[in-house]
Amino acid sequence: MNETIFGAENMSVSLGGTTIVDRASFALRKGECVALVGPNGAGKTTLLRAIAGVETAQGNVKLGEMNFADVAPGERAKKIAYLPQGHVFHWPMPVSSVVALGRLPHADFFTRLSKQDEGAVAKAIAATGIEQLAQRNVTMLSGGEQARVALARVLATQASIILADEPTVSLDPKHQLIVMSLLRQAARDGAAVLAVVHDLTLASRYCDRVLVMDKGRLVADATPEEALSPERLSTIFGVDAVMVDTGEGRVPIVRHPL
Amino acid sequence: MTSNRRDIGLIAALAALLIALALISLVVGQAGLTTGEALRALFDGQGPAGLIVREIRLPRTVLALTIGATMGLSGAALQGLLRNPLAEPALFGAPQSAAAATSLVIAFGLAPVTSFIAPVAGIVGALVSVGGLVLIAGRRASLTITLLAGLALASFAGAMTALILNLAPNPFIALEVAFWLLGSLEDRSIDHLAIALPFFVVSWIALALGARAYRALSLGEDAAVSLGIDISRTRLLVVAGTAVGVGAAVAVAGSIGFVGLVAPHLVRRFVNSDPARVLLPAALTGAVLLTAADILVRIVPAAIELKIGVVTALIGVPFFLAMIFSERRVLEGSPI
Repeated sequence: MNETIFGAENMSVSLGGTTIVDRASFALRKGECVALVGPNGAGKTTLLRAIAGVETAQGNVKLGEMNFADVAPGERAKKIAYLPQGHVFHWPMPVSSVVALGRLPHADFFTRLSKQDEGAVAKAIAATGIEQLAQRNVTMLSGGEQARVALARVLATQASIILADEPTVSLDPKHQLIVMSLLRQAARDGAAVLAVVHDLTLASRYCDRVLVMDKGRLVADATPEEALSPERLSTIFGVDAVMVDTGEGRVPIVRHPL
Repeated sequence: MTSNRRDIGLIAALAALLIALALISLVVGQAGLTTGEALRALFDGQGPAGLIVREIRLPRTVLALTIGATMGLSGAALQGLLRNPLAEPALFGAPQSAAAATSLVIAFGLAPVTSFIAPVAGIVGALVSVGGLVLIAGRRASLTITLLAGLALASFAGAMTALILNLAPNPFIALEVAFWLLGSLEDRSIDHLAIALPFFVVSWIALALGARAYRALSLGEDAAVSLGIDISRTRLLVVAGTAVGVGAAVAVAGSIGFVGLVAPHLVRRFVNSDPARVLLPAALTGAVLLTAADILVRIVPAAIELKIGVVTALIGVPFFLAMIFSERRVLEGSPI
């Protein structure tokens, strides 16, 4: 079993008095790509936001050996990189500057890039295959290109945990595959990846483990085939599904609502 | 970042332009001094020429420069915080509120204009308005909500000012306040500069401290927080910095708007729209614009000197409309 980087026991998150994440217990391990799936409103985004430090969590939560609540925001930012849902670029900045924002947690007050920072930015740009776009204005790119830039920004941090909230949403099939394989590659390179994925086929193809969330509770934590069994998909998602062998492993295909 | 050299070039060019304009501002005036006489008087301070240049033109020039820099910087900082190129203190009612609070003090003779009470009143007024705006607009504020809230706050401040003029103890004071509200740097003394300058410096420091945060915020609030940015602290810095700067500026020079909108826009393309790198050039451009406007009001032949606030509004509002026109696709939220 790989080293646990992030461990949660009974992790809960409340927003305005309502419990959104209810006593979730799970671990994120080095080198593992984990999918977080569940119906809309299950609390997936809130869970991710809490790990990213955007929301406050209760419970026994550890980042490495440290108590998560005691980790300073600057230190947390070096270790946990977060790609929010529907990533936005508010200013027409060049792609290379956007990717360099991933180095912000490592930078000094004047945000001057060190040699090491520049190396990390170049590596992230190369990994996502956006060298050609480096000097382009990010707001003028297509959705697929923007998704890769957003991912490059997250990779540039060289964090040990990468969180991605629906990174494939509104992308064409090819870019969905590219983004998922980039996330898996990040895991192979040593990061712990946790991605909210709505496409169950993509989740089971690219991830080593699947966490299933429903009504704020974590209801499954297993291999894709076990976590996304037709029985579970019918009880949790209310859909009829079958497992289909694609020649590259068995994946669930959802057929119709129940 | 990679364009440090280009930034330094831009900053040097703006600084050179500013120095040239400051010298012109010291030379231009009704006293009929020649350029040589004016410059000599600046350095030796002898006789009536020395008095005119050192006691009248120098404070006026330095005020134009520092107020312009404050406006340019607060515009750039607000734009960075709200991730919106149309943010500007005047659109959010900050100067209007500062003006309302300061007119109250002047109209009812609560304190002389050259006391510390006037800028403090201005700052409190601006603080209420900018704080109110950030509170109303809150997190994830859409452009529409932000601008509408700003409109409401500005209108309310206008109504308060009208009420104060309405209730002013005598018509002469009401007229004096009305003229002061138009914004002017005429007849400002070293005392005005002395009371405003400390506030300006505080405002510059507060606004500049957010530089890293503005840059992170270009990815949205959630991403910025995950990058280790303290959003509440940033918001507080910008609200306080803008209120302190704009409040003090309004207290000594009346209402001068739109510099904060125009200045960052003019230099943004030279810094690749980086919301942190735009700060210093925007401040310098603000200083350049206001110093130039103040020279303009003195050389335009008119029986009564034009008020600088009138000039900045006359130039600023069409500029604002042009910006809305050119960005309307983005503003309408249509896909590119």
